[in-house]
Amino acid sequence: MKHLKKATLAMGLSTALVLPALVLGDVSDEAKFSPKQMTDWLHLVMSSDRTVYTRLIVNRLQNKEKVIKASEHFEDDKALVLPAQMFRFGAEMVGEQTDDFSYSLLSEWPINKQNAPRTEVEKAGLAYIAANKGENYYATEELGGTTYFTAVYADMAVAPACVSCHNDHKDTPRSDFKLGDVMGGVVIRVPL
Amino acid sequence: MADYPEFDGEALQQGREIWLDTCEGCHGIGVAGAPVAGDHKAWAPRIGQGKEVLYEHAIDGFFGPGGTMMPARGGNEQLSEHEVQLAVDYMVRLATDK
Ligand code: HEC
Ligand code: HEC
Repeated sequence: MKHLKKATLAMGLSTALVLPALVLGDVSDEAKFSPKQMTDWLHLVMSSDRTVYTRLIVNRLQNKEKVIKASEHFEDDKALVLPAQMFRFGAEMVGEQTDDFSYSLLSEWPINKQNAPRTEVEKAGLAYIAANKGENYYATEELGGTTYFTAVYADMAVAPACVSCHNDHKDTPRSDFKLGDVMGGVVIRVPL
Repeated sequence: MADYPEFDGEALQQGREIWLDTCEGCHGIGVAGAPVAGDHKAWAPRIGQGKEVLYEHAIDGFFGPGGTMMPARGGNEQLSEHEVQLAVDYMVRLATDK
């Protein structure tokens, strides 16, 4: 019954107060979600944000209206941040604030060597999503004494700019990407 | 990869080859918001615009209302207008075949 009371209490508070109450109270241990549900939801938010950024910012302002470009050297070029940089900066900020989960955008063919897979699961996951388009990869792995649930989701070439920039980049290890190809993957990791 | 049907006639055979090479990457499973090949419901209103509109959109590219982008010639500048039309014909056939 403890359950019910808390729910009623939370409902009685203004929405502004509900969130802190959830974080501070011990409500968090009442609803159980599987790690797969968690990573799927996190990925849905990330991929939707990434898609919105690509469509409403890059596609619209760079490709359609041609008013501003996206560039790796966005500061010098006074340009938009690249989609992958946008993603990495967000991931780094999350990393500063929590150990509850972490994420990154990796590839078997990275422009930035920092984005290469390191663990066996990352390598197997990237290989799997590239060979099975439209599917995700899930596994558990032990790193430094902690067991993690690790999920890998495909990141695909959705616009000609993805392909041309990567294929022509001086640091790219692969220059035959085509539209629709899997270019890499989002890796999300939660400790169990 | 899913098996995409072959249809009689040289044009549709050729269209299938071109489509597999350049268009399937997105239209196969709906990457970038592309309408999935063979999804009759998704294609009906598009086909309703008439073939000329489809050809034009496939050749010159176009932006959907939500910022989705169909790139000109599917991003493959090597393709001639005629080749793009053959690929459109094949995809329209997939979407109308019973
Ligand atoms: C103008 C050039 C440019 C464009 C356009 C571009 N990228 Fe990148 N991409 C980069 C650079 C540079 C990096 C390395 C960024 C970093 O981590 O510092 C990168 C990183 C990545 C990575 C991580 C692995 C790696 O190569 O380091 C993936 C995956 C990726 N991009 C996919 C895409 C997709 C998908 C698109 C289209 C939506 C895209 N990129 C558009 C230049 C580009
Ligand atoms: C980068 C992914 C991508 C590739 C590759 C691609 N398309 Fe598309 N295509 C799209 C998207 C996205 C749309 C939907 C745009 C919208 O309506 O919002 C679309 C829509 C279309 C339409 C419907 C046009 C309309 O008026 O409704 C046709 C026809 C079409 N594509 C043909 C092709 C052909 C032919 C090829 C290969 C030569 C091709 N596409 C390759 C992404 C792609």
